[in-house]
Amino acid sequence: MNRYIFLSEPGNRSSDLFFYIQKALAEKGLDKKIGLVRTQNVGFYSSMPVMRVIPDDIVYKDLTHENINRIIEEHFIHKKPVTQLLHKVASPYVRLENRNEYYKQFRIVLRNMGCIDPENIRDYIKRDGYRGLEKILKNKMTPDDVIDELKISGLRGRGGAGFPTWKKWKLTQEVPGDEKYVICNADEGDPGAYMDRSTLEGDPHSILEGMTIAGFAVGSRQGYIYIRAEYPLAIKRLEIAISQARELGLLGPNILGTDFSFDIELRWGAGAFVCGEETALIASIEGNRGMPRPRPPYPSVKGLWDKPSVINNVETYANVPVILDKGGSWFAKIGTETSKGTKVFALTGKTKNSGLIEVPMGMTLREIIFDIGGGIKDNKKIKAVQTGGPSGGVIPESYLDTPVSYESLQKLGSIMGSGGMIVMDEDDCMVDVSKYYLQFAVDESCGKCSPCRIGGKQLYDLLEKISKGSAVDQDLDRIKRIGQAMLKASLCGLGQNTPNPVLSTLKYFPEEYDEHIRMKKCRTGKCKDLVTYLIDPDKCIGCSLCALRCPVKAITGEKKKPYFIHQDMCIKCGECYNVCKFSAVKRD
Amino acid sequence: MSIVNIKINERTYQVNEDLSILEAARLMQVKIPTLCSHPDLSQSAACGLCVVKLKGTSKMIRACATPVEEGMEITTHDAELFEIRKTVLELILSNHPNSCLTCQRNQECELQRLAAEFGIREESFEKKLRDKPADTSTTSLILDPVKCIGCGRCVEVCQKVQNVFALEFIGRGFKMRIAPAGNITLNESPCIKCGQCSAHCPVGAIVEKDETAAVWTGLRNEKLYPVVQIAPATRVALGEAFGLETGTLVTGKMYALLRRLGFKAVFDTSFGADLTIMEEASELVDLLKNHPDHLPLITSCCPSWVDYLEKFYPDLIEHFSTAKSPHEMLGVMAKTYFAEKQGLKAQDIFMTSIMPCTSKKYEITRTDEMFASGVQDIDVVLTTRELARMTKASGIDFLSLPDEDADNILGEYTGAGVIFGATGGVMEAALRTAYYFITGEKLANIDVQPVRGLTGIKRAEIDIKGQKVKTAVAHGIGNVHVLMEEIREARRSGKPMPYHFIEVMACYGGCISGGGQPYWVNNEVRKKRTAGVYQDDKNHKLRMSHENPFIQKLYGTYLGKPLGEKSKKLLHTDYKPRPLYYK
Amino acid sequence: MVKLNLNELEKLRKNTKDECSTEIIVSMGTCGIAAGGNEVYDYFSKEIVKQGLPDVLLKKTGCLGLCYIEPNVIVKTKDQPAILYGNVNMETAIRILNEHVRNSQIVNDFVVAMPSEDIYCLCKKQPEKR
Repeated sequence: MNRYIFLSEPGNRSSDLFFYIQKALAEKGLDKKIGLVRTQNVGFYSSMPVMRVIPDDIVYKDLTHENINRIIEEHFIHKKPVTQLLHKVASPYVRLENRNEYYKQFRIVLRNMGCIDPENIRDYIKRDGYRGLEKILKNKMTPDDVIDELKISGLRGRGGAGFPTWKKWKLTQEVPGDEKYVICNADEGDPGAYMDRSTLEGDPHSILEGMTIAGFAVGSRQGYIYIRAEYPLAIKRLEIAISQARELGLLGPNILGTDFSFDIELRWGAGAFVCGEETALIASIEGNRGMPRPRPPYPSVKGLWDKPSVINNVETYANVPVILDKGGSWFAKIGTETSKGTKVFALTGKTKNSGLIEVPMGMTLREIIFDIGGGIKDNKKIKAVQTGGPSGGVIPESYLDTPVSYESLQKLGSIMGSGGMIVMDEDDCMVDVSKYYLQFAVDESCGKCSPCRIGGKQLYDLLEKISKGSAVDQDLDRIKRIGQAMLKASLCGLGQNTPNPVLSTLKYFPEEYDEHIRMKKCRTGKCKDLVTYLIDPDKCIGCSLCALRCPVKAITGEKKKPYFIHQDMCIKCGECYNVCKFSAVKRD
Repeated sequence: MSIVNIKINERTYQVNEDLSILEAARLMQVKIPTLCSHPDLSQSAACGLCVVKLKGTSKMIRACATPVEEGMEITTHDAELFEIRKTVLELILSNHPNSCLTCQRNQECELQRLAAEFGIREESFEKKLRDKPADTSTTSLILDPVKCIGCGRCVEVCQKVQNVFALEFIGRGFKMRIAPAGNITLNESPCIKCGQCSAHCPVGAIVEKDETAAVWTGLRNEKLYPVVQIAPATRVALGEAFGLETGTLVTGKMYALLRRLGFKAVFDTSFGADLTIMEEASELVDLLKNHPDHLPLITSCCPSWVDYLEKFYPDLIEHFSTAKSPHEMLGVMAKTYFAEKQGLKAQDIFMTSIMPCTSKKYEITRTDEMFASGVQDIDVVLTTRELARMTKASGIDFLSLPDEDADNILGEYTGAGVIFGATGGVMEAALRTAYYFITGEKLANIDVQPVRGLTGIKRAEIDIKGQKVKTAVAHGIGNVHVLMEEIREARRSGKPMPYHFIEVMACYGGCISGGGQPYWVNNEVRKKRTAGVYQDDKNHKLRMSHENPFIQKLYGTYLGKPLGEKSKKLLHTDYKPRPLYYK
Repeated sequence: MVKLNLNELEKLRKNTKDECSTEIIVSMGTCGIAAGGNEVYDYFSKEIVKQGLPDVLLKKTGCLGLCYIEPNVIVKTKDQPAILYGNVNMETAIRILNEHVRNSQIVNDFVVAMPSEDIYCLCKKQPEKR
């Protein structure tokens, strides 16, 4: 076999396409040279069926019998790809080496995911691991050289705000003194986001190497990884990685026999979301209650135990070894003018494919959702996408062609954040969504500053009123007033961004709020107090399916006669509405 | 320290670079509202009211926590800032009950004042209050989570200044409250009742336990003979409540006031202080002469300090002076010596102490020795703040009262007695007398300057005819650990003791800024009150406790000699280790 | 292990070779484990011993990013593209071992529509450029 065909078909795999191709190959005598594999349909490609030819990395669509014959003739016999039949995406993935428009994802941070055994340092080393650090030490680079390389790369902090990494490092480097710290923020807490966890679990050494390079650049001998205790596997693998690195002399005193020494310890977080805020994180490492403190002074100058400290998140550090290995200018070629490199997103929600993705900055939201995410489940309509978790905002469908960058998302009232991306369809109620995020932010507020502590609660309760149908017009003004005050007067990013979900939905979906308040209606049925489910006796044939599925036995009736929903018992789960095959259940 | 140029509201100013925007603006008579910032404390930046605009940034920044920088252009007041601040203030009000009329802080509340200044006329947001009962477990303080606005000043002062860590932020988000950690009451916590939390609270969330009703009841009871004593530090602070300049001495007016309130005899705790010095200086002299290996001697007049040492340094209890605090000594003298002279029984006398202190409310039932007269020696302790309220309630025009004298003999004091009110005062008074006891001579320079002032730890060496007495003074109890660790280290290593005599007062500045003193304390206020105390010292002809003729008379006719049998029985107490947590 | 110096790291990098001709790699991040990756891994590790397959190397790796089709298993043999299987349950695992690992027969219908080269970077030859 020197070539393979991977065939992807829609739905269940009962079509005769597979056999047709098999037969066609046999007729041309190619069945011994070309392997045919039937794949499971996991929705990588927006049009089906498609076939992918390996190792040519070519994907063909429109697989009519005629076209199949043509492909076999032109591609396999004459070795000329049929350009008219190319699918626009070859693979949703691409590794670091050969980047091409034909691929969607591009992996720098996730470069080793699936390639290496995270519990074996040799695997990492084999895949050019520790080569960035090695280059620094071998070529006798100075800390300034390292920071310059980062400056050329244009790498910005991946934790949310996007502060240039080189600037952060420079600030710390410039403070005199030799007691400095390098801290990795692995306190990932956004609902629906797990980029850092996966990176730590899959490639812990990339973080260790990135931190060690930071230590070299700023003149620190000690690093800390602040990681949530809820990530036991990541902790275990980090511990293994640290001890293996120490054994090989890649951590600890005299790294690689040079006079540079650096070590890393773990510090466990107890699960407070606010500890992802850098000053609260530092307080937590010091053993205090995790509450943000005012800045300045910034941690770069006065951080852990009042010493200059560099704090970056997992993804930022994971980029660093590659930048040092391949060069800042290589990295700077990827991405947009102001946002360089790639971004990892945890794509979740209503997309067909959910998972961890890494795309070059500048890719549009539409490409991410439709080309990589495979579009929306059950062919529903997309309504919006939420980025940045509880600190971010909701971006409506009309802005999906926005290229992803720090600035563009901010302009839309959202933020890049750490990389949660939740896709919503027509079944999602924007009031409900805002309520969900507010609930999270209100629960996780540390309670220190009054705008966040009280404002968040007031906002949440106002939304609760709206979703219950008891709100009045003035409540929207109240929401805007509180939102503005929180935005301006909260102490830390958590409080300042808490109103983002509600303000952005209010901006893009004012009609939904209006419906809730004036018409006391929720078009999606998510706000249970505003919905009633009724059975239309004219349509109901009395099949009893709804009664069987009702979890609280609120539907009764006689077979073959119209059924009836007892409103006092109904919990408005909508199950009857979903299962009725005759559209007899009405939502009002 | 260098000078920077900044612009506040379009005007250029030159200010020191170590100031915050808030402080710089205040110097320029620009008032930026705040509820959490306090000059005693590091900036927690919690309330969110002090936001200002800084040219070049779109965000608003906190004036309290942002240091000035060269070239800053700041806007402190405009329509948008007013709107943001008003919203924040209304949010705070939505989390605070409208019980101003019945609140202990009525008319002295920072929140109430701001609401008035902002002209809040309606409640824009629904009232949402914490649903937690008040902590009334201690005999000194009441912590009411419903009124708490979460500014964090009390936590800051309890942890960073006092190093007690009784108070902590508990819970998250809207449920955040301030309480001892671990679901326990204040009385089960390490709390030392110093009341600095109540002195720094901007609202009525932590207040002294109001006992004015008990005093009114005592005064009305015809079977009782009500007597009263006033602490040294109260006389330089009470006037503030009636609009007098901070630090004004109102001793004579206070005596007159208390008589008009119905007390039949008015005494002065400064007499008790003189008595304390007789005992404590005798202890010091005894140790210096006969048991130098038992040094240092540590003062014990401050009940919060007593509580602190019993909890945090029980191994050092043996160094404590066993002499009771001045008001306890005076209390027992009133119920024994004075009662006998008046032909009364101890239980007939109703003794009220006017104190700058919340902890004194705890002290009066601290051990069995506080019942040395057979009954509780002090019946009620009122803080200066409570007396001010009682005065206003009584309808007495304090300012027009004449100056009167206290009743002798328990009302006559020397300059040494009154300086107990300031940090270093006990030390200075004791040294004046100890010097005499050892040498038979008067200390040449009676003003012992090295032990005065607001430095947190003051070390001095006093030459008593060739014998170098090493002294140290600590105030603001967070400072004390430095000295205690030095002692522990010396005890461990067998090296010579670094100190012979140590004075500790739990409150920074001493009793003049005690937890029960009138609100709005800062270092300026401390300095003025301290000056008032030292002025009173200077006003006295007799400035050494042993010179007090009434003290001499008391020993001559009743007590015998210092550290004698009767003195020991009535004027001394003991200590025991106490757990930090009772639960 | 002995601590490396500056020159030895590159040597180690070059000298680390695959010792086995066939590899089975199970994706075992939290997502993989939660979906049943542990069970699959344990099955392979037991069977390799039981059936005596010294040429087969069993490895674990982190999250591939395909969390919705966990557990994922990659099978790499000498002459075939590295195949990525998704939604691998015990039944599929048995077939993968018997058909693919032992007999080079790719198990139809469980393969993900891309070779794992997309994710798993082969250390041998790079795919041809178009």
